[in-house]
Amino acid sequence: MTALLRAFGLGFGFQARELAVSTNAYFSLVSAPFFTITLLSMVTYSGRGDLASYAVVAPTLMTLWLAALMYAGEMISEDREGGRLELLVASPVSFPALLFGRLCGAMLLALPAFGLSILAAGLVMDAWITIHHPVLFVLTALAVTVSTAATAAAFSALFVLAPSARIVQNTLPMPVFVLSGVMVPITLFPGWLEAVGRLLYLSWGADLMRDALAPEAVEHAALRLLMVLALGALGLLIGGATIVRFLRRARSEGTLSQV
Amino acid sequence: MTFSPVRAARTVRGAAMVAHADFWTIYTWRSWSFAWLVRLLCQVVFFALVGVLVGDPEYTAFIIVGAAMMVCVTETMLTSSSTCWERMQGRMPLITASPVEPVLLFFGRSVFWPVSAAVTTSVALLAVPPFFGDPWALWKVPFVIVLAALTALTTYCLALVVGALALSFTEVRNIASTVMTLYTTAFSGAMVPLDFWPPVLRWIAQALPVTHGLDAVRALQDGDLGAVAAASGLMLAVGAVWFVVATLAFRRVLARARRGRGGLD
Repeated sequence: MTALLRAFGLGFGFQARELAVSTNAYFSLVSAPFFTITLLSMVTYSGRGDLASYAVVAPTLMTLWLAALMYAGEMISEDREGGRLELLVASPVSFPALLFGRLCGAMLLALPAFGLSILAAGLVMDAWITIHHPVLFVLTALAVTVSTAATAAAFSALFVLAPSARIVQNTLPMPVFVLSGVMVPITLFPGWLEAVGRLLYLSWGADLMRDALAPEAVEHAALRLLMVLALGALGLLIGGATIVRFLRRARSEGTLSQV
Repeated sequence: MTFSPVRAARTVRGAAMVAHADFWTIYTWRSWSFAWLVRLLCQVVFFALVGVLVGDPEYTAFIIVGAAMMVCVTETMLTSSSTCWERMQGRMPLITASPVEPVLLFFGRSVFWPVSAAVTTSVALLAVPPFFGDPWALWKVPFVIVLAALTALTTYCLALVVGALALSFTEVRNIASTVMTLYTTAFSGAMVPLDFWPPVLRWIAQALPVTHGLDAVRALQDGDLGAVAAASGLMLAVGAVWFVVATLAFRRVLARARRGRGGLD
């Protein structure tokens, strides 16, 4: 367990340091304020200023997801191109834990994304958002961030095993944003579609984040928080197992640099 | 060098062959239909659902048209990246030395984006509204397709200017197209009427071809063919201006490269 945590910590620290100097990371933040302004203009125009917090939550989650998929797609392949993959696999640290740590480090992007959304809403549209349940909001944001990194780990495994699946990187975000109700709660969907959406951790996270910003009391907060984490953990289990299997096969066949 | 239509056509055709090959390297019929097109349709549905959220069917119909037209911008702006591929693949010295008009070469080189955008936008404009209870009258369908194609063509002229700028700064090629797409989505009158925004943003919006494309499609919804023609004319005029700007921009980039100041390695 200590070894796993150490690998996680190493990955997290490395990625956090890289994030600070990565231009690409900052580029991925540009969409947050624009999406906030667009969505906020829509709810304001239609006289539903009470939905302003929705227009801040959605861009934050969208930026997080887009960044997660970007890192999931690039991380292992960059390690391979840079000649680091063989060294990392040969080292005694757990590769999945290291990868998960790195993805969690990359998810620190959520912080400036949320800040930019809040600022865009306040400065451009004069809609200052109040966080009515700050503790729950922070806990939910953390849970969503960790679950996003966990899901990204599963995707990075998929991208390594099937490079053609990279098309998923471009295709998946929009259907996921619709299905998980990052902007429009899935309770508005037909029953069967809502049931599909409930399978995604993001739908639980988006609902809970919106509720944490609203003044009303939040129902079943602990249970819903647990659902976000449980669905994220499922992603991590699948991703971790797939990566371990892939590495074992690549090592036994000597094909690590070719896959 | 005097302008020769035959040579111009040959330049565009040659570059379009590269575009054709590139497009089918990126996509197969299956990945274009079931991945790319589905992604763009989901983008339209994502915004349309905001109309459902606020409980206003009329506004939902407004958003659907706006979001469908943004599909055109999203796809056409990818020209910024494909223009830079020439530099990244080391062909710029050959282009710089060749006697062709650069804008014609780059027009042909990325032409697969507006062609694909015309199709995806038409599909988005025609396929999404029925799901929200607002289908097009049959006689309007050919007009929708023509307007989608004109919007793609004129937006492409603007995208070529972005591409010319990105050619000198290749590291910003993706961010430039993303910002243009996001800005247009927010401030072109796609999601909320232009009147919502301050005058300065309304004026800037007039320089975006898609603003007039949106006017044309909305006039078509109302059955006002006179307004459709007027908005289409404006869109073509704005597109033509951007084409002239793109011509000058590409000439300048290559002229700087010939003097060794562009770094087009």
